[in-house]
Amino acid sequence: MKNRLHGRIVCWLLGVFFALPASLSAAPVEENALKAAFIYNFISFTEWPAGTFGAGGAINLCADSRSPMASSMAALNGKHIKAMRLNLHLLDSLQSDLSPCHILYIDRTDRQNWTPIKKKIDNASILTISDDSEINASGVMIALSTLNNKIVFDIDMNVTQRARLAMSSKLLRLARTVR
Amino acid sequence: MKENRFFRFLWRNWENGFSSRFSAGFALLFSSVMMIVFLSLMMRSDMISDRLIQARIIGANSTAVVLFADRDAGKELLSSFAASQSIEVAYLFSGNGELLAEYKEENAPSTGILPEDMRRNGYEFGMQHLRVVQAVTHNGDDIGFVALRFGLRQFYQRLLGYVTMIMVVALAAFFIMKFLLFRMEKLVDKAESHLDYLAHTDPVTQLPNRHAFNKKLAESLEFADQSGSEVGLILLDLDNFKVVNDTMGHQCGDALLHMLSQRLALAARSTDIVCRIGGDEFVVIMNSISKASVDVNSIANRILDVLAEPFRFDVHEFFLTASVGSSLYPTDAEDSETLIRKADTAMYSAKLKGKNAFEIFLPEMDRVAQRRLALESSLRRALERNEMVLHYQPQIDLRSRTIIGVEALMRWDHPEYGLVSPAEFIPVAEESGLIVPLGKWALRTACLQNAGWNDAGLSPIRVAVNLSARQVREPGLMQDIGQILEETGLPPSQLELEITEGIMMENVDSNIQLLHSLQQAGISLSIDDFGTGYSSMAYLKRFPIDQLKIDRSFVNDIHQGGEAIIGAILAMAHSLGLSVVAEGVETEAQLTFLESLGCDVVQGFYFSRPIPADQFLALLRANSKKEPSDWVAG
Repeated sequence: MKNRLHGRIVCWLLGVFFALPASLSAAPVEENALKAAFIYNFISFTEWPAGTFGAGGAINLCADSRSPMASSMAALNGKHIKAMRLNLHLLDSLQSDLSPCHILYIDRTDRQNWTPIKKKIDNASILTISDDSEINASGVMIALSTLNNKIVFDIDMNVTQRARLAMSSKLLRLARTVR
Repeated sequence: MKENRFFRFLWRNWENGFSSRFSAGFALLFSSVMMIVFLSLMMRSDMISDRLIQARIIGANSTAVVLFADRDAGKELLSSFAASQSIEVAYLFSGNGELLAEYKEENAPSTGILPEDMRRNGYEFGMQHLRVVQAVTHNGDDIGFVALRFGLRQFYQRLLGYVTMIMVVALAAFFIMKFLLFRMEKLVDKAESHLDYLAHTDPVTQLPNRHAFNKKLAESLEFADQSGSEVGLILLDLDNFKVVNDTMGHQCGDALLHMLSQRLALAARSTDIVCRIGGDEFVVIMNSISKASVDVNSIANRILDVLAEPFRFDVHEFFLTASVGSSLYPTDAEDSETLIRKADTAMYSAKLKGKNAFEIFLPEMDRVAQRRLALESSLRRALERNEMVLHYQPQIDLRSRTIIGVEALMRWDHPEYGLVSPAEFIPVAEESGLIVPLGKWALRTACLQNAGWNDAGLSPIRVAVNLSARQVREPGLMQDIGQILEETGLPPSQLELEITEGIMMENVDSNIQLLHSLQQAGISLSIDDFGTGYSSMAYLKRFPIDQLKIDRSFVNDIHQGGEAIIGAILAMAHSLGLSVVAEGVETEAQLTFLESLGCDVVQGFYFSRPIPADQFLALLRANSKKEPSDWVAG
C-alpha cells in the first residue's frame, strides 16, 4: 500500500517534469516545483557516511523559511527515500544550529550569510544545494542553474568528498560540469 | 509367384547391407539434427540471457537519465552501449511511456517496438529480431523502460556455421562408415560364401555333399517338371571300401576317394552332377535325359568300367567294386525322397546279387524290400515265439570216418512264410542288429545241446557256431561266451567259432585281441568261407586260428578246373599247422579227390544235410555203433 502510494507520488513528480516542457522562465512556480523534484532526485543519488542516520531515522532537508522554494519544497516533506522519511525543516534563520540537517538548500535569501554558514558546516556531511549564481560560484556542492530554458546542474566533487558524501556516477554523468 | 520373388529379392537386398547402411545413415542424420536443435536452443538461450543482462545494465545506468529526463544524456548512454553489441534499435521510455531517448543502427529497419508492448519485463524471440524490455527501477520503483531490438543475423550466421560443420562431420562420418561397412560386407560375404562352400562341399573329394545333393536334386526335379524331361538317379555304394580304410588308413582311403571322384566325373556327362552323400556312397544326378533307361544304363556301365581299373596309391594297387542302383523320375517316383529310396532299393538289390553290379529299379524290388521289412518286423518276435530252431550238419573226419564235430545252423520256421532261408533272413538280421540276440541264442542253444549229448553218454564232439560281424563288434562278446559255457557246462574245447575272412579283416587289431582271448579260453577258431574274401596271408599267421573252411564254391569246382586252388589251400594250411574243413561235399568223386589231397574234415550233403537235433542224436547214436566205412549219403 505504502509502495503504491510512493509509486504514485513518483509518477506525479515525473509527470510534473514532463508536463513542463520548454518555457520555464515564464512560469516561476512551476520551475520551482521542477527544482524541488531535482533536489529530491539529488538526495536519492547521494550516499551519506555510514551511521549518519540512526535506526528509523529520517532525512532532514533544511531550508530558509523565507526561501521562494519553500512552498515548492513542502511537497517533498514526508516522502520516502531509501526507506527513510524525508523531513523538511524550514528554519527561521540559517544562522541557527544546522547539525541535524542532512541537506541544506540555500538561495539568494541567504546570499550574505553563505560564507559564515559554509565555515560552520565545513566538513560536516551536509549536502549543499543552491540555485544562486553567487553562491554557486563559491563552494556549494550542487549548483542549479537555468540554461536555454533547461535546468542544469554542476557538481563540486572537492567539497562533496570533503564532506564524505558519495554521489552516484549516474548523477555525475548528468551534471553539466564536475569539478 | 513373380511378385513373391521380387519381394524376396527386395527383402534380401534390404537385409544385405541396404538396411544397415540406411539405418546407420538415418541414425547419423537424426543425431546431427538433434545436435543442431540442441545447439540452436542453447545458443538461443545464451543469447537471450546475454541480451537480458545487457538490457539490465543499460536499465541500471539509465535511472538518473530517466529521473532527470535528460534526453541528451540518454541518447549518449544508449549509443555508448549500443555500439558494442548487435543492437539495432534501442529506446528509453519514461514511466508514462514517453520516449526519452532512442538509438538506431544505420540502415536498421524501422519496424519495431511499439511502446504498448514495452511495459513489461521480458523478451520476444522473433524470426529476425530479439526484442528485450527491461524496466528501469530506482529505489524499488519502476520509473521507465529500456526497449532493445537485436538483429539475429549474427546469430544465424554462427548457427549456419555450426550446422555446416556438423553436416560436414556427419557426411564424413557417413562416408567413413560406408567404407568400413563396405569392407565388412565384403569380408562377411567372403566368409559366408566360404561357409556356404564348406556346408555344401565334401572336403575329401570336393564334390557336393549330401546337403547340396538334396538341393540340386530338388532343382533338377523342378526343371524336369517344367521341361517335361526325365531325371535319372544313379546311386553307387563301394562294396569293400571299409576294409581299405581300416587296413591302409584314412589317408589312403581319402586319396582313393579323391581318385574315384575324378573318375566318376569323367564317366558322367557334363550335365550330370556327381555328389558324395556318405562315407562310401556316391550319387549321379542325370539331368534331362531323353531315352531314360538307355542313358542311365550307359553311364552306370561306364562307372563300373572306370572302377574296374586298379587304383594306385603309394606302391599299392587297389581294386574297388561298387554296387550301383538307379531310378527314374518321374517314372519310378514322384518326389525326391522316393526317388532316392528306389535307387537305394535297386542298389541294394545289386549288392544282394553279389556286388559289383548294376541294377535298374524295378517295381518287384519294392516287393522284395517290403518282404524284407516284413521279415524284419516278424524277426523281432521270432525268438519270443520260439520260431527259431537250430539244425545240425555233421563234420566227418576223413581218416577215422567218424563224426568229430557238427555245425549249428539257424533255421526260421515262420508261421506264415514257412521255412525262411538263412540267405534271406541273416542279412536282414545283420542289418537290423537282431543278429546279436539271435547269435547269442544260437550260441547258447548249441552249447546246451552239445552238453546234452555229452550227458547222454555220447563221445564228445565239437559244435561249430557262426559269429556275425555285429557280434564280433559287440564289446561284451567274450564275457557272454564265458557265461554261456559256464551255464551250460560245455567244455570250451567242444566249442568252435566260425568267423568269415571279411569280418576278420574288418578291424584287425581288436579282432586279434579277441581271438587270442578266445584261444586262451580253449575255444577253437576257424575261418569260414575261406578263399572268397579279402585275405592277407600275413594275417593268417598272426591270427590264432586252428582251422580253415574251404568255401563250397571251390569244392563245387572240383573236376571243373578248381582242383589246383584246393590243393594250394591245403598245402598252405598244413604248412601253417592248420587243419582244413571242406564244405559242400556232395559227390563221392569230390570226397575221393579231397581225401587224396589229405583234407582233414568234410561236411556236406554227401553225408548229411543239416538236420534237427533229435535226428542228429539218432545219427550220432547210429554212428557210434557203425564202422566208419558204412557212411553213405543220407
